[in-house]
Amino acid sequence: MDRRDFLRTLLATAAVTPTLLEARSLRSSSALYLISDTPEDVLASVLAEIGSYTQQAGRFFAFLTPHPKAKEINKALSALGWKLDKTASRPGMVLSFQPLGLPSLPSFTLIRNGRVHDIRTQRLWQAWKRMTASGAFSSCLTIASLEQPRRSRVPGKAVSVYADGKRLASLPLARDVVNSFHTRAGRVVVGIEAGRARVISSSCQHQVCLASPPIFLARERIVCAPRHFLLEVEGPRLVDTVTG
Amino acid sequence: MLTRSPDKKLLFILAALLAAGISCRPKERWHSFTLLFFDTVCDIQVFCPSEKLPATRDAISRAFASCDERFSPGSQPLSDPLVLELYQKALQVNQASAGSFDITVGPLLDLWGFSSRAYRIPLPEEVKAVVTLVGMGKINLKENTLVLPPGVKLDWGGIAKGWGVDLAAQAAFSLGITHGFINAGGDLYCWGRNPDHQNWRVGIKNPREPGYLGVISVTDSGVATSGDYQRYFERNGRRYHHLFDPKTGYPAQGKRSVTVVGPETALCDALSTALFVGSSPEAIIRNYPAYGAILVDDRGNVVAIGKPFPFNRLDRP
Repeated sequence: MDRRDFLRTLLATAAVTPTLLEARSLRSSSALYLISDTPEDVLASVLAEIGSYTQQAGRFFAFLTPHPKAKEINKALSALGWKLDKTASRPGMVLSFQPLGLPSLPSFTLIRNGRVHDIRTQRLWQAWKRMTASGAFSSCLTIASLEQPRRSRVPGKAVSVYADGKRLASLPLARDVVNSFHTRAGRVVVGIEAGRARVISSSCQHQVCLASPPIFLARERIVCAPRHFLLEVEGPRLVDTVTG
Repeated sequence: MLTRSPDKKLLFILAALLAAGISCRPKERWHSFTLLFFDTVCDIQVFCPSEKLPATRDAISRAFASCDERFSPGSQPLSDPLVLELYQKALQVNQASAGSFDITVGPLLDLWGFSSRAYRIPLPEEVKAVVTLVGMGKINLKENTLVLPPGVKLDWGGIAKGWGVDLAAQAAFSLGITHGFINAGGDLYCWGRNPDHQNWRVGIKNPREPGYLGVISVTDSGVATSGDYQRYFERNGRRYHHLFDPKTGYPAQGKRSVTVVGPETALCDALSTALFVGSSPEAIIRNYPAYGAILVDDRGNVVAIGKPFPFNRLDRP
């Protein structure tokens, strides 16, 4: 694959991957994009090769969203001296997973300060050739955000559902599901997809809950006050309570 | 044979009585619950015996309900003692802020569609006409009744929730609750120590991104925040929020959020609006030496004014 194909893949990735926007919003000035069903095979060697870019990230890494290869990635990075930060509270590399809407040829690239860097050194060229040898497409995009600012919240693993002041359920964020809940004032339907929870429908008048963005960080919440309904991501408390 | 001296015997009896007293005292523990008032979720956490929890919950609910009944739109008894008391507080802040805080902005909220959620951008002549109905100087107090001229409409949204929190906290104190917080949609009062025996950690929402701007460490204090992200609509890429400048009739410019900390939540609530709207927040807060504030301007710069309090920034490395 020459450089044009590389960029074409990247642009195709950008077109189908809203996670790019999220990575930008995290204000990370360097991010590694890796398309591969076996990211653990390549991630460690790519990071080792682009060492100067990763120095600022320190040696901690965390998962922003559930990753199907989390275990394998953890093993591969630990072998290189990286340490998993389960609470994502230390500055370091943050990994997120996004399934691609359009499968793509495996590839990797670095975006630093908004510019694309072809990082295929001699060693990484060999790694890239191995990735693409079979010609099989991949739907798995792993984004490693480097130079992450200090996190003020951590991702949660489950979301609590409260109706009429009572806790009705705890739904794991790792499992896609749609659930309907009845309160004394009406019905609210909750959906979980790709690690985020949101209100899909509600019988309330103003539908403010529907307009709320999906939640996934600890203590984030969506409220439907007319239906006496509250959705809150479980997780460690960095604070006792919140103003604003 | 050893015999206990009378003093030691008395000491022993007192110690036994004390131990019995301690073991009979109901065990206190932390309780959390939520209530729905002011069209928002109210979070409460208190340290008390489980037997006391129902009475605590009822007392706080009654305090909230008394405010919700009196100050929600369309139900404002103008002779009620609680209403008159809150009017005096509002008037004081109105005068100290040179009119930046004003409870007569009701017609502006109607004009811009915030009351009905049918948002619109009014014509300049419409704004000019409605601004003539705004101004606390138009309210008269006659024989313990607030008298409003035709067209003048009160909006207590900038102070009533904080007042409700103060009343609820007083209800909790009267039941002997020595540690806890009461949070009504971001207006809160905290007292005593948190479960880690520290001051309460209150996160200030980042006005533009998920997560917190920072964390303040306080106790025996009210906290309230006014921000342009709380109620707004957008047209052609421009944001129109609910914090109006009473003098111009347009949303106030220059700031994204203001958080105030101080002894009374009602005043924190009103001052957060006054400091957001006012062009000289430092001059306003000088009138309240027991209060401090964190301001985020429209470029994202963070400034602390007034009485200092511990604040830990979180939004930058």
